[in-house]
Amino acid sequence: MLAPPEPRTFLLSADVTKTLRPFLVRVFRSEGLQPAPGADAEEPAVPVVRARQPGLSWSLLWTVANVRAGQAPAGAGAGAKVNHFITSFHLTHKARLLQNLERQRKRLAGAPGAPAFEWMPRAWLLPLSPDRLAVLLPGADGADALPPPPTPTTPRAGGEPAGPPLAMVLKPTAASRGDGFHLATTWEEALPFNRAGYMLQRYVHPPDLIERRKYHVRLYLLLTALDPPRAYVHREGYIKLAMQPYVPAFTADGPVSDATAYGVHVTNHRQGNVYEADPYHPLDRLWAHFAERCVPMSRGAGGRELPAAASDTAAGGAALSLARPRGADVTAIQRSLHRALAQLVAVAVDSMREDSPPTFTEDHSFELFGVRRRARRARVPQTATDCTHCARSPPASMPARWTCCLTRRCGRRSWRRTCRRRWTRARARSWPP
Amino acid sequence: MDTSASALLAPMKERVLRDTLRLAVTRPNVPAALPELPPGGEACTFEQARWFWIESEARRELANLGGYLPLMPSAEFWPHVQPLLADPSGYAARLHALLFT
Repeated sequence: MLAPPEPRTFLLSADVTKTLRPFLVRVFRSEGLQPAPGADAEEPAVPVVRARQPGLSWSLLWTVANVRAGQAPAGAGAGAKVNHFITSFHLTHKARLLQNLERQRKRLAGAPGAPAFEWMPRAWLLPLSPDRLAVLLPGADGADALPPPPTPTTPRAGGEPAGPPLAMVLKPTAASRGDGFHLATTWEEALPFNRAGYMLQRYVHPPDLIERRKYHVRLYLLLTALDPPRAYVHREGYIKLAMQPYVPAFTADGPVSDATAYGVHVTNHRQGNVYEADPYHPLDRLWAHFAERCVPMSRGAGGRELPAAASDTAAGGAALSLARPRGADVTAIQRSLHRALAQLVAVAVDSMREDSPPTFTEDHSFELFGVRRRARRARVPQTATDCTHCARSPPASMPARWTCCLTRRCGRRSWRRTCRRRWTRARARSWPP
Repeated sequence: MDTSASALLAPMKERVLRDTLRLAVTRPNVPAALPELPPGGEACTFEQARWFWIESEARRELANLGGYLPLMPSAEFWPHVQPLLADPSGYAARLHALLFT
């Protein structure tokens, strides 16, 4: 490796917002970096295309938009760094990531220990044929020009058996921050989006809730090399709550009319802070949530969340009487998050390496990604194996991470059906032992 | 972004940015040394040597990563790791434990 030039200098691209520049300049200066000679000493920001001009020497170019191949800093000096990989779109562009994911799925199909890639909800690039869409989405009356809605026995995509209709998320493949998000509960709602540039994604259901709101976990992923891939995850991160309390998109009676509200399902920064409480919490709040939420759930309507004060209501009192000290396996959750990030890198890094232009070595790049992750309630591993609803213990042969009720005495019929289906699948995989 | 959000996010983002700079930009570029091969490892393939190097690099950087934790892809993405895992000397097991746990 070549030593970087001394003294180390930095340059901001013109697309860095004026509100962000003072923050970056302050941090860069405190870390021993100086503004590049020839640039403004207070705000050394120039367009990226000017960064390669003769006489403008720098060690670090910080941009917001991705750097194109023609803007590669090959002549900027040995050891110069840009905070983007030219081919990072393989990781950040939804369509590219989906294509890379399918490529890895095919490559690893049948291999022992192949990952299930459960960190990304099943998704499809649009447009899809009406027949295909009809299988994925619940049908509706009045769809005259379209095929009839699927019957209850029609299997869903991915081999999943038919069940209650599920909501689908439609979003542009090249947008971010919730732009263009739409939640469809019928295919009439989905049809206007059945065009190129959009993707259809299975809704994460049931989501894990904090303060009765959906949330996402934000982690920081740093990629410093592609061959071999060198990735790091930062210990710090945060969770952000949705603006409005969660409303399931479907009940046993059908779609919920106000379930598609933007503030219910979207948890990113686009929504602003209409929520009166602080929507940002450190990761410690998440670990505490996992540790405390092993209390059996209330049996009220939509009772997937913990009662706000367990002793205040009759349902809460019943839940409290069934409660026992049980702790979530936080280490297992952290390992699960890190495993998902490692797989995310592994899925995209082959394409990133193959598409890198030969004139631009990866030694010139690093990139810091902010990765969002939602938790699905059923996927949260726990150390306790008792039913989270009726607190009865499952059979000893049941997988340890299952927490569902297997007894017919449980009060929630739909929950019991789900549990029994999962139990059947688990037994099919593990039997004979 | 209101003040309550800034109270959490701004200092945290500053710490992440500082660690990023130290790890990716300003850290001393010490040339990586090839690790000593285990006994009988002189005939190892290039891929095996690469993994020895990765292990050495990971150990060297563990002391100076700030808030970062190293993240490595799992063995399923690297079929050439599988023969290493059957190594009876235990070197591969330690390599696997370092990279994947």
